[in-house]
Amino acid sequence: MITEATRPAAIPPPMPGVIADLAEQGRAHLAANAPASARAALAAAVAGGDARAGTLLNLALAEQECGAHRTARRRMHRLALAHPEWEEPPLRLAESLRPRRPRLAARLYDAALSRAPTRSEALIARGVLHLQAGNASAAQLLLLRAAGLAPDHLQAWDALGRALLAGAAPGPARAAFHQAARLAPGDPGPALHAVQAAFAAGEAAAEHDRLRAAMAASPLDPVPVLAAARLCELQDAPEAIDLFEVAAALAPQAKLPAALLGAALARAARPAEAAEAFAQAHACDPEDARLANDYAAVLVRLYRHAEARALLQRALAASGPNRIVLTNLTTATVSLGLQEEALGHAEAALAADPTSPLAHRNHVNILPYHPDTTGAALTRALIACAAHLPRPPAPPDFPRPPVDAPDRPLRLGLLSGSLRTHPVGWLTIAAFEALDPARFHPIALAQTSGSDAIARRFRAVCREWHDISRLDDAALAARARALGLDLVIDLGGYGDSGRMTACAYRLAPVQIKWVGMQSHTTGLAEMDWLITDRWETPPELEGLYTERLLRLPDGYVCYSPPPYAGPVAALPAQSRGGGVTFGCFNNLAKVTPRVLAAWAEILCRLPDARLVLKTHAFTDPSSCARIRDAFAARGVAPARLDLRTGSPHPAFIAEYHEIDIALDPFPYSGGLTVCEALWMGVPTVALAGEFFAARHAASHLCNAGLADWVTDHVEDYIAMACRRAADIEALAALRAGLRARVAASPLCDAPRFARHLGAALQECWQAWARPALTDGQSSPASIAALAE
Amino acid sequence: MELLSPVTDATALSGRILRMIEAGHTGAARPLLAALRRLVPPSPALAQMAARLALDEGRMELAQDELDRAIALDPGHGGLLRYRAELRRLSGDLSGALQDAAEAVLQEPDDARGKALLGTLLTLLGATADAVRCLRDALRGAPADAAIYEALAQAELADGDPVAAEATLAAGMRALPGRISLRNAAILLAVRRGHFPAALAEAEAARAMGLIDACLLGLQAHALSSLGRHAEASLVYAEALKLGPDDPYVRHLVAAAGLVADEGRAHAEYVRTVFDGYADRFEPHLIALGYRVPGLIRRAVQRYLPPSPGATLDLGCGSGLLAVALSDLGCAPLVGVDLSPRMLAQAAAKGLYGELHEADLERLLAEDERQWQLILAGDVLCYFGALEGVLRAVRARLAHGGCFVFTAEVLAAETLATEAHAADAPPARGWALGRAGRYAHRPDYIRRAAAGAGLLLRDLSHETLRNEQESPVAGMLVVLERPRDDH
Repeated sequence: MITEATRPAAIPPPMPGVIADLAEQGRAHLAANAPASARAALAAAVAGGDARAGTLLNLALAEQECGAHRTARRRMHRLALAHPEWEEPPLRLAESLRPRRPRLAARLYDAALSRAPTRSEALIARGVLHLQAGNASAAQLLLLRAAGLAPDHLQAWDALGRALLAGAAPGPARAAFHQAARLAPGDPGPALHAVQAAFAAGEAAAEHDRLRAAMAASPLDPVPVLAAARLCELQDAPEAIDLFEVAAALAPQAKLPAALLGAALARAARPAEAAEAFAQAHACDPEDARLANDYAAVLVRLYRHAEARALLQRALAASGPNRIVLTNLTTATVSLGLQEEALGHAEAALAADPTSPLAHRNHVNILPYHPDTTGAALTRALIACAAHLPRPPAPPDFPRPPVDAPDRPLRLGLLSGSLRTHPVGWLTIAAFEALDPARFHPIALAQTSGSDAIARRFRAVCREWHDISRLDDAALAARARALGLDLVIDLGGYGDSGRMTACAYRLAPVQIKWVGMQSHTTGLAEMDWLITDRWETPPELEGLYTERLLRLPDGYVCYSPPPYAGPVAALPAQSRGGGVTFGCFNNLAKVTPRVLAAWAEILCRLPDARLVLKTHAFTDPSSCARIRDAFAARGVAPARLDLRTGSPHPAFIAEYHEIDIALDPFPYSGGLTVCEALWMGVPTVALAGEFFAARHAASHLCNAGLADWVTDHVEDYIAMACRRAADIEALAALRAGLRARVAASPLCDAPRFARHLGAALQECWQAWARPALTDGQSSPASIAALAE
Repeated sequence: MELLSPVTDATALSGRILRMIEAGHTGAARPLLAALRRLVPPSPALAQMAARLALDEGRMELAQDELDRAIALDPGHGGLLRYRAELRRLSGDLSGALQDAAEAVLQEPDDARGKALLGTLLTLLGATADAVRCLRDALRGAPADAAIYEALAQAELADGDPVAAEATLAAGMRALPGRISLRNAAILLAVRRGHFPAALAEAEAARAMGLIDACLLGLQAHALSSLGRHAEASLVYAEALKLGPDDPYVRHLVAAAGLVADEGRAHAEYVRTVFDGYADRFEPHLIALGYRVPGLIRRAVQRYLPPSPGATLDLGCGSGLLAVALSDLGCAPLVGVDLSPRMLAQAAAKGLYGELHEADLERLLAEDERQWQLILAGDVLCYFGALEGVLRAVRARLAHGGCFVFTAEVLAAETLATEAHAADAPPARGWALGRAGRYAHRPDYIRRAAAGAGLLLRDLSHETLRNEQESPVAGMLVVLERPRDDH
């Protein structure tokens, strides 16, 4: 507000009596942040004849605070014209216009400075506007003056630091930030900026010592800890997370430390702890949409999909159609089994940004879950997705080996974020372990590093281990090419932790798609081959694939049963009496309304049968209620359903002891789930569809010799389930021998699988290295022959 | 930017620090403890937290200081005394630990943890009957504590009552059916008693419940192997390797079963794991096994070396048993080297070594250029297959006329079978890895290797080293000398 001291000399003398009192009351209200009362009092004073410039400008400020921006600005403008020596009206007008019209504001600040060249607010604001416009040297000049004139002004020093940093003078910037930090104890901004400047200036060690000394002197002060954490993060030092944790504990009511801790933990693949930190941050500021999105993203990784969806819906309402929020919302929603709604979100993300690779990946990841998705539609979407990936201007050149080059072991890159306990691990590790080490040298291009048993098996089998998590696609491609890889197998696809997009840059002369979000063709022109089998890709579906097909003679995966799986239990229907217990342990994303309808029909036809569904999503009561209602609407009593939440893997597979027959979902079929059920003696009734993910169950069942459990019509699926359930003795006999049968089948025969895989990989290599000698066509017979 | 106002709720902060310590986040807990100390005055709870943190950071002395200071302020605090007792036990001060534990039980007679600790210490000190009584009492107060069942079974076993030990573990498994440590203890007990079919049955029962870890698989494979079911044992060892593919302990066991090529000596990490895991029970265990090695080496030193032989290097010194055996013979300065930090802590507690080094013995021999009158290796070369390298390294560090005294296990018929099935082991190489994970050597091989390294054979006598499963382990006591005129 304007006081007598700030009014221009030319204004009329103070007015006596009631009117002067009103003006003074208005000023007091304005000072007390009561703009409505201020506006009323000041308007009354003006109406009563108070024409003093100070009163008028105070009225304009009150009007502005009350939201009457246009009225306020007109008043300020008139005052600026009427008092050409007074800097206050152009300054106030500039501040009013700055958020939306920065260029006009800049001119007004210039005007204010021409009237009062030492007005520090104007110097700072104009300096910051210069900085925002990319004019660092002009900014530095003004901000240096501001800091000199107002050495106790926090913003002057902080903005000066930023201007110096932008002007490539990080050392002086660091000093300016330190000055700002001294002026604002408790404010983490300048301290964090100082860290950034120190890092840029190569003075990280000195800054680190300074911060450690500050921490030792004031162990309760969260600011130096937070800054030290940020510095460690910039340096990739492992203690960053510990220090963020300390800062968050020292300032439990603040958003920033907890949010930074959450982000660091999420990057370090520690989602449970990240969620705890984000929850603390979110409680401090529930309106922060970006924070809500980050929080939701880790909740998704923890299977807390209902909470994630609620958070994202609120964030979406606040942020408008944001493709990142929509992408996370798609995942959370489909994971709750709401395929239609999820597809809507995916399409909205694409509509918001039709060229975004992220939006395309999201779209192709959701499509296989949707009941209406056809093979052709999915292929089209995948081709569109692949077409939008960034690529180098010219494809890299890989020189072919000379014709007379002797044979040597092939360098085989494994590109994945899932070289651990994960479907990719269970379905591939035994094959890599059995691959002839004299012919293939596996080399991991790993996105995250785990330490579980399968991760350690991958570490043992790989000759080299390269952590690619901090490389973008272009850098990853450069690294891969520098490693001289002969072949790259992608084991991640378009999934969250997948890096298949980097294959668009080409990592090796031969690129092959195998397990890991292998929901269908990749659609990627640079993906040369796709590993499949005759059940996954029968000849009539070949046209849906853009890659050349490497059809292995048996199934396309090699299953490692978990060592902790107990022996197969007796058929529960025999020990329990009554009808059979059906089960489906797949995630709810695969359970569509049509699947529910088919299962309800089976239960209607078999009044003694029960159904056990087991998925993380059932920690959400509304998902349980939705599923129970869907069955109730078709006449199935809730008591016949047993909805179970997730468990650790040993307990999870042990629950197959209670299941007689597994029912596979469709169109997205079970993969690892089918293998696990078979290992536990439980056969699966499956419905094969058109695209790759719609045929996983068919492949595994046929590979284990249970082709007669696969059908391709829903009506047959229902009838088959009822028929199998009716013959308890046959079920018991099958179950009793199933473990041994699966163990002896090609599904678990790692040496046999590895011979076939090795032959297939050799064929891919030869097709590239000796194009004249191969016809470029692959056939199961030729691979089998090569293998033997 | 929002201002960060510092924490004022000491209770919440203290809870957070404890959670961090539990989760192993010592790096975060340390600065927060400093902050907490600005908020609240010293207290037993704070001291305990500080000691726990120091212990987790591997700073034993700091942990001890924290507790000493706190106990000086509050000498009757049972929790602090119990905690210091545990700390003293870990650092090898068993009598100090016993004193604290007994005082803690006097102060808090209803605290089962205090009694359990007292019982464990009594076992370690050989007062097994008292230990059994104390631990049974502790178990009545905490019938769902797996560690107490295990400790009681240990005490009963040490007291010569394996049947009672078996019953205790069975009761523990009934009370806590999902606790794999109790299963493993029961299987181990059956193995030690030579009840291999029972061990196998226990292992299979645990697996049927989905309880499995590399240790359980290792014991199951051991039982299978002891029953002569080597093919099945191999498969189980392979599964153990899948659960712990880069675990040197498992790898070594698997190599011992002849499944993967062994590397000519035990992996340093294996030796460290075995002895760190055993450190607390090592001496009682060896004494219970009729361990003769320190006595044999003492006899050889008296016979082959002059009185007060001088500078002595104890390779693989472990908990310092040789130092005790030689303490009056003038082997000084005495320097010990071992891979296991916890073993070294026990050796240090004996106060007999001038220096102790945590290092691989081959590395120490390569890097430390001092000359020794006497180099000892009691029960150490069983972790080496080929001895040529070690013997050459020893010769280089022996003074002229100095002696190398060591024990080795004799390669016998049973271990020859292993050698035969190890794919890359030519039967005539003179040493083999046995199924217990230790190497055994032929006497003629040792003679050849010593000659090859330029060492004179002063003695090679056949001796029983200890008893295993109630049968003697055949070994050799070897004395080699660096010739006086050798250059």
